[in-house]
Amino acid sequence: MAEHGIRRVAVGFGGDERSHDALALGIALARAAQARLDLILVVRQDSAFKQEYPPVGSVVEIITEQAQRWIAEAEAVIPEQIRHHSHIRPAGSVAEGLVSAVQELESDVLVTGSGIGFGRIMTHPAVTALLHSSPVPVALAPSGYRAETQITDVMAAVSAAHPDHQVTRSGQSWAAQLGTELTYVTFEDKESSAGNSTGPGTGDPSAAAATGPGDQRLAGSDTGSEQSGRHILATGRTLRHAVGTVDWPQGGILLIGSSPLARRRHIFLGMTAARVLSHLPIPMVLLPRDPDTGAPGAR
Amino acid sequence: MTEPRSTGVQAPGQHTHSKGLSIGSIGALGAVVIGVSTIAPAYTLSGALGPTASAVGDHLPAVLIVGFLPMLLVALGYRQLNRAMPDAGTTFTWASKAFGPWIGWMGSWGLLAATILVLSNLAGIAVDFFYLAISQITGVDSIAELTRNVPVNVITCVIFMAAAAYVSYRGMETTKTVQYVLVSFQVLVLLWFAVAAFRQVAAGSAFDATAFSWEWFNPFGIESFSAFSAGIALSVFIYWGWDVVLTMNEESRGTTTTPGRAAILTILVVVSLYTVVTLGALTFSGVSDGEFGLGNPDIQENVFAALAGPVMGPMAILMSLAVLSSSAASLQSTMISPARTMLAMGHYGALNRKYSQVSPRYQTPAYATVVAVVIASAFYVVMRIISENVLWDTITTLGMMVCFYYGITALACVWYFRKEATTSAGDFFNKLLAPLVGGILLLIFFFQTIWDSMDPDYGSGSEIGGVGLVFILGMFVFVLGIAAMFWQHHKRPEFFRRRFETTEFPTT
Repeated sequence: MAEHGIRRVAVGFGGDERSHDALALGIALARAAQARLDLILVVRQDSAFKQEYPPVGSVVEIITEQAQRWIAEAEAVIPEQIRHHSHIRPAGSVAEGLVSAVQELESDVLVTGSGIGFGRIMTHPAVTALLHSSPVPVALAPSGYRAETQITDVMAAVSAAHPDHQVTRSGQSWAAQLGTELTYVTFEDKESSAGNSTGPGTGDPSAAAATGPGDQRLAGSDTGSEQSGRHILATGRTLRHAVGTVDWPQGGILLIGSSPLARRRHIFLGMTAARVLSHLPIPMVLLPRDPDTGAPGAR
Repeated sequence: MTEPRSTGVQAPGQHTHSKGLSIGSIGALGAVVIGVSTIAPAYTLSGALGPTASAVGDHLPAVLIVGFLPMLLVALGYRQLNRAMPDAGTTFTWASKAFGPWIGWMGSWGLLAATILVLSNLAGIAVDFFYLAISQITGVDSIAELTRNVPVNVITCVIFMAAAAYVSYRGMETTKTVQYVLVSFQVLVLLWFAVAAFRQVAAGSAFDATAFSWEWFNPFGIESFSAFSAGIALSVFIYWGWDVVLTMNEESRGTTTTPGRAAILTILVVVSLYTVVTLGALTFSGVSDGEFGLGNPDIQENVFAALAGPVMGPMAILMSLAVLSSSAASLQSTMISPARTMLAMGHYGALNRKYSQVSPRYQTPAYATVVAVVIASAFYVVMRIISENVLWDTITTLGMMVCFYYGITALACVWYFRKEATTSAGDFFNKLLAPLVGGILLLIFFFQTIWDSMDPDYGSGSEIGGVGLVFILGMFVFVLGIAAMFWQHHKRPEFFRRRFETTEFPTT
């Protein structure tokens, strides 16, 4: 079991709106887990093949100076009791810089702003890249997330077909670590469970966001010993409706598994997760593929 | 429980991990590709060949080869300065340190004016070829004529500029592959053009077959010093941007190749490419003012638009695509330059603080990019309405501006290193002699061009009230610069009172 506590929360910070959402979620998580907070600001380096015409000097220093001001603004928001460090890193791209920083800092979760909420879709290429490459769980803060939020509920998106899955175990350990309730959520939309492979959900092998079976144990019913906690079955005509039927608690976070396409120990945003994400009012945490699981999901 | 504030800042180039950095190492070939791509040969030749031919007639090859020398001498000094003070302000910072803030300010104004003017020229050339390419693809000749329709032309041009500004604002990067493809395509098409021209001359089907003559390579055969200066000022524009291969910063770019070798290779590639294409155009067209003659004022401001068809036949579409892709890529990379210069000026307090705004999301000079594109668009619209030869006039004015700011930069190098330039023969040459000669030459050409351009017949022959339009443009830019400088001095005098420090790289 590779699960250990959440001791180091990393926040990908950039001084924009999204970054402030991310910082707020980072603070809430660090407070709940009594973890250390790392602010990481990646300063983009020009690739050598990006040449301005005519050549003028490099503005990296000026941008770095500006970055220090953004970091100072962020640090002013962090409550006294949270230990924190800030890091300014040069990298070819924001996603690359963040991935190498979380590996070096041994962060347990990376928080970034999604810019999503109210049905808007994600636009930042760095976030998109992260969601397909990060080696640690990525927590996406919805727009307008508040740092004062008390995290009260960990919710784990599990598939009806494979209730005993990595997400189940992660949910248990996150809930224990954050001292919260644990709720399992299963999404079912009529479109993709009808078995027609033309719906938008065909990118995922199963209607739920979870990947394949964790091991060969029989999938129990809701009273399986593996799963202690409330269950919610969210059904709707479309996934969007299904997400809409749930009364998401203010202090909730939703854990969701990676697509089977993910490399081991990496994350990869699957179709279902992506669609859930665009209508979810609470933070979503995308988990890397469990190294223990064998072949990815059935079908 | 708060820990002391500790922001760990890693310096650029200090790579803690080996892979995943897109910076990578660049070999000599990569450096040449970057150099050629920065010069944008297809666009440059199309825009500047005609005006240069009109100044020096069939001595084009001579001017192209001689014109390179002052550029090279200045670039050597530029490289020394860049090593000693790698700074975002470049000309602005160096000239301010050497000669004080006033001259520094005007030097960077010259740089800014040149980069903003060239934006409008790039977009203008792109518009011509855009409609030409569509007409060649569809076979509808009337589409190519759309570019002569002022409202259509102006609107298309502004759209192009806005698109380039958007790409620049988002900080999108051209990848290595794209650069290689663009550069190879340009070089191949230009060579194709030259070969096709020679073949037509040999087959006797050329427009005005002109026998090759060694006299073309004799710079002393040019009729007057005025013509010579005009030619050199234009060739300076033609080679503008080449210095990138010398200033590729080893610390920040992670290049491994010796810049010297890459620079020499680039020089050879560019000069021979230019010479071959020029010879092809000369032998095919001659310098008369006939339909396809290089002396024909109707085709001079965009030579390839007129010549590609008769020279290459149906393959002329390739030339349109080469120039179009070359000017589009350049348009995008040129957006970065004035924006960064203004960012540095705003940062040091030489411009309003607003210019130092960085977009938090894309880490690009947000405000400065918008200002640059708005000014360039307004300039193009006004020029297009008052002058038919907008492209020609801007190229000539550009040549002047580039001479001015390079001259200032070169002399700043001489003055800055005056004490240490005598330590070794190499230092003496690189830090004193080369930039001194190059800088003085460029400033001589600059003043000579200013003087000559008062003549209403100068260049394209555009005039306002009996004074040449190029002179009016040049003076307008300088007067505006001086006014802006005094305004700035009035508003924020502190910059002009201090000897500011540069932001040195933390060299590792």
